[in-house]
Amino acid sequence: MGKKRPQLALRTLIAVMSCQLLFAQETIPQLDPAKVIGVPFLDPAQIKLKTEAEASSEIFARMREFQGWDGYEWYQSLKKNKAVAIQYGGCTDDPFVPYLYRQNYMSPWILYWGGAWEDDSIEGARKEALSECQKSFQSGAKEECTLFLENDDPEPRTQMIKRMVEDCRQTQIKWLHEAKTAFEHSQFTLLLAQASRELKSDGKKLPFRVARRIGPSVVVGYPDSIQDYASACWDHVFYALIPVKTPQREAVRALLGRLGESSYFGQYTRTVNTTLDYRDPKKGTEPLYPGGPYQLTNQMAHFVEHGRIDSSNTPKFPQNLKDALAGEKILEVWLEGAARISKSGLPLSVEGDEAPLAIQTDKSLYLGVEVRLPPEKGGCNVSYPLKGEVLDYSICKGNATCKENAVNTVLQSASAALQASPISSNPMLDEPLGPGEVSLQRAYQPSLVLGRPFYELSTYSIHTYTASSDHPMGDAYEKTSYMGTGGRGIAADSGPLLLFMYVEHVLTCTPNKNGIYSEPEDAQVKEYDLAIQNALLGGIKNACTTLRGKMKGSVCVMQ
Amino acid sequence: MTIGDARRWLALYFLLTTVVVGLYLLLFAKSIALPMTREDANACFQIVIPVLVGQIAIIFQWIATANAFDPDQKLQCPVPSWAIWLPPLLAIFMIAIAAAALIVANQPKSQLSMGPESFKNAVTFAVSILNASTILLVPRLFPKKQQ
Repeated sequence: MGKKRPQLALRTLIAVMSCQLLFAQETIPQLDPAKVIGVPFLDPAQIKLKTEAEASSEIFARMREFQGWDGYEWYQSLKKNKAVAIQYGGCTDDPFVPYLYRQNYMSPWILYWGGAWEDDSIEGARKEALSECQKSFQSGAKEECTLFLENDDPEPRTQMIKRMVEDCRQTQIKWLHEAKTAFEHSQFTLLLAQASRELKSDGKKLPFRVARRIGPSVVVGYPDSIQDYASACWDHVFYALIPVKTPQREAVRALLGRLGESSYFGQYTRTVNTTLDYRDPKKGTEPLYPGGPYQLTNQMAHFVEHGRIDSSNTPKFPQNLKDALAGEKILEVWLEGAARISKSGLPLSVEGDEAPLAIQTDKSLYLGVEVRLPPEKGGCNVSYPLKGEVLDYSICKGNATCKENAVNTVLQSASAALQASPISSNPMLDEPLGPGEVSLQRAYQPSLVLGRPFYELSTYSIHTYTASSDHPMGDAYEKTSYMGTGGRGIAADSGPLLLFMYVEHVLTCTPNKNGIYSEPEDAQVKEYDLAIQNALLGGIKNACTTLRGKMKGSVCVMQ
Repeated sequence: MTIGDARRWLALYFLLTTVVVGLYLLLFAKSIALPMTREDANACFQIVIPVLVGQIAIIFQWIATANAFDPDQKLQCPVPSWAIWLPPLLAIFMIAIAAAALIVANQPKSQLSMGPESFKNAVTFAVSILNASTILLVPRLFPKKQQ
């Protein structure tokens, strides 16, 4: 009897585990791509056909953009025997429009135009307009120059616009066909199934659970978008939804509850290419691609955040999900985020966007589906990091030492400000950081900001990046390195030289050091925000004094 | 100890203890005097207060009705005096010690591992002592009015 007991216990254990496994599998619905919603190009009702007025307006806008055009009224005011010829390159899509909505942004593409006025005859004006257009004509272009305006005769213009509108309609149809084919060949991942697998297979549990509170600052999107800031192309991946059948809803909600209560799970390593060897700061001023690309490796982990939604805390949903849920009231969301963690598992920074794991509306429960189009169908989109200008060091143009000194002084000064009271953090050494990054922590120490009896577990990440204007979109396309550093980086010499900075603070606190470190209250977060802002402003002022600059608001201008 | 002394002592004990412990848990959460979250303090409040308020209700029910029929209260108390005052005093002593330990343990250099969870356990233990002792005596010392 004694020997049989362990066998019985083992069998019982195996039976219970098998049941749990079966139960767990049953809770995750099957993914049927045909039932996915939130993909606009699959719904003909959401396709916007171009009107002749829109096409006309776009042609004139393109002519203005391309060679300066003072408007149709200006043309009418010119003397007779006038003509305009254009080179029409077909109806094309805009690569900067998200892939999901590209069918609505097909526009006539004008390559060149040429005009003639006050000629002796209309024939002469036509000939000269075509000749002017031909002069701009570059070899390799297939389209011929065609007359678009002849005196005040509306006929040529009307005919050409009709042709363009029809072209755009045909292009839309062709594009939709391609998009549907691409969708059929996409890779679909049910986010809940993936998170559930990660949760089960996670060997080493992380001790922390830090997430942002769900609110308007939370963006529902691709959690690792910041990773792709440099490449600026990622919208071949998007999120759609699939409804859960009524009998499965309770089981799915139970699984979501378990994920929502879990600490960090699903650790993974994120590798980002950089053009600079971050291991050696002296290489920061080397030209683009000196011997790279180098790789920057970050340790990452997932978390799930659950929140009830009302008008005051609705996260920002992407347009396709907003459209898919139109007419339904969103009651609850479960979002999956990614956080960068230190070697010991401390959260360093939380990524900007969070994936829609599940959405409960007043009508149904939906699960998030990641749709990954075949790679060649990928488009471009730019995700902007939070930015704040701190230094104008245009005076350093052409002087690499001056630039490096300026950037380093500001970064060191900001770091020193966060090491002074009341923030009193310490630099985190032995962490893989990119150029222009500093991480600090204050772990399990009394909070000098909140005062007694509070203790805090804080990490601070200072990120800096350079740009030649306060709207760094142009730079975004030229940066091919991590987080905006490198690329043109501090070696850039065109336009003003500006240094931007953002600081990320991850905080948990407790009124008892032997208690659980948990999310702070809003008032506590505000206290910290104010203290950090004051500290950083003080740091920038100190740096400005060292650099013999002048403060202009919160920006140091080197003189 | 007369039955009147026992009744007065218990009535004052439960009234004062309920008010003091209740105010302490309600007002001092997240402060140096009670370094724990409001949720933890509320949990302690929910453990302690129903028990104490129940005793006050029994005592005041007797004061409101039966006291008039027993004006002298000179009868000898049927329960040994130590059994009346020791458990309530030990219970309040335990809560006081736990609170002091909680405060000391929260000092940066303290090696004590006392935390909110231990404090809740101490409070539960004190209430259990009361449940097993004094609470059984109160209905006997404060009987309902005989119909």
